[in-house]
Amino acid sequence: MIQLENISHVYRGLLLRSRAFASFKRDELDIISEDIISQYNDVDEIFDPMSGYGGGMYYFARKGYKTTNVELNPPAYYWQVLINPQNTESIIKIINSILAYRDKWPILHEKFSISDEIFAEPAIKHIRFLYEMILNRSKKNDLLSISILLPFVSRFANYIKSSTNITHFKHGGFCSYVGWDDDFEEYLNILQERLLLDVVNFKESNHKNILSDLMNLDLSDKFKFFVTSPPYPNYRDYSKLFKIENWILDNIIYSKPTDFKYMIGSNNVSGKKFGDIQSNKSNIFLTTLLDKSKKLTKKSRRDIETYYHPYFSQYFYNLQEAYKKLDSLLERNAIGYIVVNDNITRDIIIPVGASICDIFRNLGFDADDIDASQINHFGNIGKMAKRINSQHTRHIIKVCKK
Amino acid sequence: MQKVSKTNIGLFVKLIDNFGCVVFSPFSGLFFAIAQPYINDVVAFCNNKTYNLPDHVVDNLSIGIKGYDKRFEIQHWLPKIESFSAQEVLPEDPLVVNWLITNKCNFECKYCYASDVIDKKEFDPVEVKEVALKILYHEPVAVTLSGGEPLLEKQKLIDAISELGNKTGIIVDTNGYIYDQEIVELFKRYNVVVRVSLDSLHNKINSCIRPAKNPILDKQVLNVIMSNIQEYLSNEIPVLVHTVVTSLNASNLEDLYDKFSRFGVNGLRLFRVVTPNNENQQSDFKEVMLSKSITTLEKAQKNINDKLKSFLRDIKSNSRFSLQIVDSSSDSKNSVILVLPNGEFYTENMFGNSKIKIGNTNLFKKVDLKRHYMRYLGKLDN
Ligand SMILES: C[S@@+](CC[C@H](N)C(=O)[O-])C[C@H]1O[C@@H](n2cnc3c(N)ncnc32)[C@H](O)[C@@H]1O
Ligand code: SF4
Repeated sequence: MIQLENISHVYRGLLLRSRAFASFKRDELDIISEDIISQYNDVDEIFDPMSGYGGGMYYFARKGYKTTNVELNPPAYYWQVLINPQNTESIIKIINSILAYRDKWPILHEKFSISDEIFAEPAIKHIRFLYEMILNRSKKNDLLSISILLPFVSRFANYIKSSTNITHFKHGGFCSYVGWDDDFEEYLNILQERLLLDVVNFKESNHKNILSDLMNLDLSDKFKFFVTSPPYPNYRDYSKLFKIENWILDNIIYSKPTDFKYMIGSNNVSGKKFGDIQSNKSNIFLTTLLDKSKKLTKKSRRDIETYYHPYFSQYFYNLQEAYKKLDSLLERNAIGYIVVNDNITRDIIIPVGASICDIFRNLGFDADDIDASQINHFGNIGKMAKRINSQHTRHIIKVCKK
Repeated sequence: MQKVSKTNIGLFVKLIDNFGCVVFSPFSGLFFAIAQPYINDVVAFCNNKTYNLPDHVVDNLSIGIKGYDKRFEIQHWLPKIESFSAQEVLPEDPLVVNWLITNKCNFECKYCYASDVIDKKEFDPVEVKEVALKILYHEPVAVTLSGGEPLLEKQKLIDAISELGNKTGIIVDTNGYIYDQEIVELFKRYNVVVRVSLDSLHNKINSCIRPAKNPILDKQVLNVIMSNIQEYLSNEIPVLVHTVVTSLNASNLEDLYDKFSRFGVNGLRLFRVVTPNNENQQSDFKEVMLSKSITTLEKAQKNINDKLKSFLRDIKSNSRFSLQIVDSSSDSKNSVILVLPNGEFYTENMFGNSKIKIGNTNLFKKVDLKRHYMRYLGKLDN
């Protein structure tokens, strides 16, 4: 029976393929894939400029396409590396080597720690040793070593675990180290099992994962097809989703912390600037929001003026700039699909889909919605998510560069 | 015939006429009721003889026994609750007696319902041995040694355990701050189960609800208690954690469950908080119940109820980590048989202003029989 109780909710969801963590849903990709197959026979490679956990890569690899995937948040990128079929054989070898070496794993003498920080001293030391050990087992392949280690590091973190709040959890408190080694073994076994199950279904194993902010991306290739899904303006700060793992990367593995300044939809409002928003739909929404705020209580009005309005303005501006950048990476006549779900805030639909159509049309693309459907969505993340997403409209926008 | 006995494999069994038997496991700290037709086989199983029992009966009775680590949902009524349905009336026979061996304490928890006796008046000195005999007369399957803080009166505790040991199961309720290796050796000898009270894994929150009398200690309390729990566990003494759910910790139940189970603790017992009957304590009590958004005690109780409900929706008691919700009665019925430090039998009387004396002959005149059984065996109906 699969347990994995001691792994963070995010990785547990990813390892057990729970839907809450997928950027695309299966049926959305099916619609896109049918459209591609019926209309184009020259598709070799698919580009995803904001690829998250690599759901697109995972799907298109099974359909026989190559993919290139760009992702800004390091732990999401390392997850892609982990499930990239190109790496499976090496990863399985490393896992087996780690498992065979069990009696020489570093020993953690402390049984627990109490700390106000995410990681206490013994955990930091131990994770260093663990990383060294994996590095040695992998013949110094740091990319794969980090990818294998990262989903497990929260096992050593001092934080309040909660299945309903995965981004704003409280850190500090108690962490038990008892049985970490059994948990590590269980994790490695489940990871291995999952990779072995997947690998037989992949028809194409040539996939690139690129860790970069799209805005800084410099590529010599240009792409003919892309499939992507934008970050959503749902107040969930995705840069915090991997706070624990990023702490390890920033403090133990890298020498320089990751900059999330440009992360779209992260709710760090203060101090961020935004420029001219060209989409009509976005601007109408922003004006409506301000108009509505005038009828609300003083407090709600202030919230909207100082928080929500700037948040959505930044969101739409950043999206526009990101798609401009994407345009520069596309060949002429390129085709793209964007899966979007519109949310609702204060009874106003946030027109993400319509704004994306605007953005692409302003860039000179044809843009059409090939599937707009009303769906009720009940994420299994918790009550909060239910309230925000309880009803939304899904769009699959197809764009053609002229 | 002797009703209570310690069997060869270490379980305590109490035979109850027209009912069946009740088992206390000093390996898990759990209680089980066994229906009449299965008694002989259960006794055979407990004495390493040949038996014929459904697997899940053996499984439940084996929880916590070394080398046994199957995982399943715990059942307290065996082989199933329906086996008892013919039982219109429960036997007037106590399962557990709660002996407050001392009224001294080194903590001053904001909600403590024992505060009406703690440090207030000195009880007349008693012969521990005599009180022990008075308790054993009722043949409980286990005795809880509590207080106050039982580890503060080492000699009394040693005497009590030595008198009761092997004649009935023993549970010691402690705030976990004091650890004494000599007492631990005694715990090991008599298979004592330790239950430690802890309300949060954040020291500040725990110390706000359960402050030490000496405020200098507050900084270290959580660290000390967790180290002591670790020591008990490494001495193979089963540990259950007692957490009283108040407004300050109701949101963190999942975290407590997760971390205690990961730490190797045997189980968690969550108490619905009881309003202490001590007048002087009401403002302390409000400190752990009220906040900016929770303005009345009713609202606080409702919030706690909601939090408990949503917690229980996702989490079930299982053989590797038991979970029990101990209800305070919502009416004036009492469930606990108390023996005060002076050796007299009382019950809690939560809604009056002091504990009530019950005399030591007819215990169930003032203690509600059904609630008494439910307290140790969980729900009576399915
Ligand atoms: C009175 S104490 C005595 C033993 C020991 N001093 C201790 O704290 O564990 C027994 C148990 O009752 C719990 N308790 C005290 N006051 C309570 C209340 N008002 N409602 C519910 N449980 C309470 C304590 O947290 C503890 O678990
Ligand atoms: S430690 Fe136990 S007896 Fe002492 S005040 Fe706290 S709950 Fe009451």
